[in-house]
Amino acid sequence: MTSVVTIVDYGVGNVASIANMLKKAGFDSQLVSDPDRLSYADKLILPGVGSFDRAAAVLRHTGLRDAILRRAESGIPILGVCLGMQLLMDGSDEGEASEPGLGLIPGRVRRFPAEVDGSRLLVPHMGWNTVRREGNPTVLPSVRDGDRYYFVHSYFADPADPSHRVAVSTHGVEFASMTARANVVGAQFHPEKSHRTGMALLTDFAGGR
Amino acid sequence: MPGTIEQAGLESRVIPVLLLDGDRFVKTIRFDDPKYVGDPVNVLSIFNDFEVDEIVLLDIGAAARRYPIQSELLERLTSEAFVPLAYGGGVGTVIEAEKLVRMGFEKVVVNTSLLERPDEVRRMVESLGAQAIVGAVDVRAHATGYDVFTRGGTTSPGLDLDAWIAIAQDVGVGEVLVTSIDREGTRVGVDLHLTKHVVDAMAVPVIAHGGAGSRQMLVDPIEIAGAQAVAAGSQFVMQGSRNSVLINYPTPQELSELFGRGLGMLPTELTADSRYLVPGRDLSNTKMCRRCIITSDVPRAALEDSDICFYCSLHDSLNAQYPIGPESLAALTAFAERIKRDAKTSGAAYDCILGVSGGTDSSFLAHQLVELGVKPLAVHFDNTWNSPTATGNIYAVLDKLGIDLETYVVDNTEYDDIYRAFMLAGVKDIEAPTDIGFMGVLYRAAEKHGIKHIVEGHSFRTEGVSPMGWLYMDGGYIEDVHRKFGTVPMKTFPNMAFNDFLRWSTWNAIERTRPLYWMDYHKEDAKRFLADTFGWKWYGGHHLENRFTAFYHTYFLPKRWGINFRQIELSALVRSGQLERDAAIEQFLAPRQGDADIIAMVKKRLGFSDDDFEGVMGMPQHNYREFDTYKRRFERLRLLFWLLWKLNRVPKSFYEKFCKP
Repeated sequence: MTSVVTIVDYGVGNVASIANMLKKAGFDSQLVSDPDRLSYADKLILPGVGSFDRAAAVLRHTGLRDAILRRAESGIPILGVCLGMQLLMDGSDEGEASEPGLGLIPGRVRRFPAEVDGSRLLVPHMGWNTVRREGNPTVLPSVRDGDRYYFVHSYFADPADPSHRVAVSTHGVEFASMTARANVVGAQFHPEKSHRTGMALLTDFAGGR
Repeated sequence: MPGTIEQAGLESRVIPVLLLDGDRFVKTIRFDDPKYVGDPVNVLSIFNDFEVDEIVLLDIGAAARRYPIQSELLERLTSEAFVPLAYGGGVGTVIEAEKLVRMGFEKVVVNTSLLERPDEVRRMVESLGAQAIVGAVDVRAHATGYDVFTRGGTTSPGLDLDAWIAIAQDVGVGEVLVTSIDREGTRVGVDLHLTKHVVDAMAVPVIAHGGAGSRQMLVDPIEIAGAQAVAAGSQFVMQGSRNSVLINYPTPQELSELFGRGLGMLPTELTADSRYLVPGRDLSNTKMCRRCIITSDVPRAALEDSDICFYCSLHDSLNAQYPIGPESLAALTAFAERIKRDAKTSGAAYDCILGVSGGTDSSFLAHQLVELGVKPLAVHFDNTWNSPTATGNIYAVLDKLGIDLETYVVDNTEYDDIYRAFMLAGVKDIEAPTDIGFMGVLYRAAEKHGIKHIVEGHSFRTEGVSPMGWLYMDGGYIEDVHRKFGTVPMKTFPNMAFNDFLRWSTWNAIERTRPLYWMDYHKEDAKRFLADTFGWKWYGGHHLENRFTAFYHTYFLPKRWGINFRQIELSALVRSGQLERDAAIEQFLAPRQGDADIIAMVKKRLGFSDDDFEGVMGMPQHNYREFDTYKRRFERLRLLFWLLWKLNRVPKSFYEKFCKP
């Protein structure tokens, strides 16, 4: 039998969408906001929309930050989605840049440049874009070159170690649309809003070992 | 302003805009005259299956009349959609905006609030990020510029577009939805000047809306005016010159041609849910017809004293009556000439009514009629349970053939109540409302337009004749079941009351003809032809183009009644030499798989919990004879209906099945 997926519910993000899609794909999930209950999780999704500082501060105040770090250390699969992926990094240039990230993947979160080669770059990066695989092909192999996903973001994760990029996309500049380090994976796009392509990814994560 | 906008990699978005008014989806013209489009859950799930880029949902009732956000309905809708969603309508506070995002909306659309409570919208931007807040502006053109309107176009705050842009920039919305009230619902094309004006002034993505009436009109707002997305309502919920309701969206091929984008992911097979697997039949203790695959348990099979079933002899007599050859071709041509003549005499704008479902038979017949120079009016009964394949097929075929369409959309709440009543009644005829509603709509259209002919896509060679004991239907039956088990008044259901039926058949002299009887109609060839010619799609089984019908055939009947309608169709194909008998037996014995998604939808829409549903599926079996039906009246007037059959006003099968005890 497959395990129950735990979705970290910290008041930031579209937890219902992720739970709905997991249900549609045939997986049970639970929303958890109590850090103590996280210690039983054997698969974790960290969602998130909004600003980095605010989300990171909520994680810290609620004790979820430490709980997530402990679970990461124990080696369970963790998937960060959108802002949740950015929170896996050391920190972000967004806002006051005062709150540290989870530091599970070394590197910072940076803003898209306002201009590229003298042309205005439209930010946020919003809409459907394709991905290209890089690095470790065994991370969520359902994600393939040319797959379309839905993106909405103004900042992107920039891993210090290029081998932590497992998929890239281009919006003015090339950026990491998926990151991975050991048991921790990040997706900048929204699999829960990306039709069958996204469902394949979540099935891969929830059904995998 | 800086130079060209860089968005390499990112695709232009094509967005259906859906208007909620209470618990109904509607479509307006210039913000006025709302027309009912269908059940929100079903419509949204059709768009979800079309894999649309994004959906904008606007509650026009909440916007104009200020009723509160309909959280319960919105939650049902978000659970049905795995595409990006935006919601607008009466969102005035940060708390409401946050709640919507938690529900599963990526974006919150603010219109009136942006002007009346800019500080609150500013807090929404801070809390949820600019990308989650869409500033929407509705404008009317005047001689020198554009005036802004709020509260669903009803109120003028005395502001021009440039003043609005300044406010939107100051508050910091992450996207702009600009709607031309003058163009909304008119299908004359998007106001490119308006779009470009906003695109040039704003540094965030712009969605152009209002007037995009055709596929080609989706391109200019993006390529000429520079918008990042184009939104449309009418185009995606209506079809053709009569503005009939028909949910549609460009296919990946069309989008590729329009915008040069890739084709996306290939279909994958989802795993079947074993809970809803109904095992195949055990054939011991039954006798099978030596020619087809009818078994002795099928009503009127008459296999006790014979090796060949009653249905085979029925087939043979129909085959003798309609032999394929020069005489059938002559009969078909004569029929076409006669209905054209009748239309000319009566001054009707169409030669005949053609009921369409998106299935093989009606799609193929539409093509044949046009080949014969006949001008049909296509009529569709939308029971709000259509599958995306059905609507896609109707759109593809009628659009290419240039056939006008009229759709009758039943009220979803009322219709679901009728279905629920039939389920609670414990009878097997739960699809009777669809068959009766379909015929009721065809007769009404014929009467309204003064058309003397209804053509039906039935073919005894591919469909066979359904056994009397497996399906009973009439208008009185529906009324009585609904009276006993329904709760919502029946107002929009196009029922066939006895007197209406009699009037249409006698006074209106409406004839019913099945032209496929005169054709060497081959199912597989027809499917291949339709796919090649129209981009028509097979939906995986006879009658499965409608979600409730699919539930009825793949789960309800086999599970609760041990009836597998495939037996009838497969037998017909064997008799007409279109399928080997062994292959038919193999298909007949295969288990049937109920679709978990469809069963979930049945529970959700009919208001059954898992336990309620199991209870209804397992309740004692009841029979139509326990209800008031027209059966006795049909039997009493047998002579009249014999005459009507001879006059081609009712099919022979009606006379045989309904007028004899």
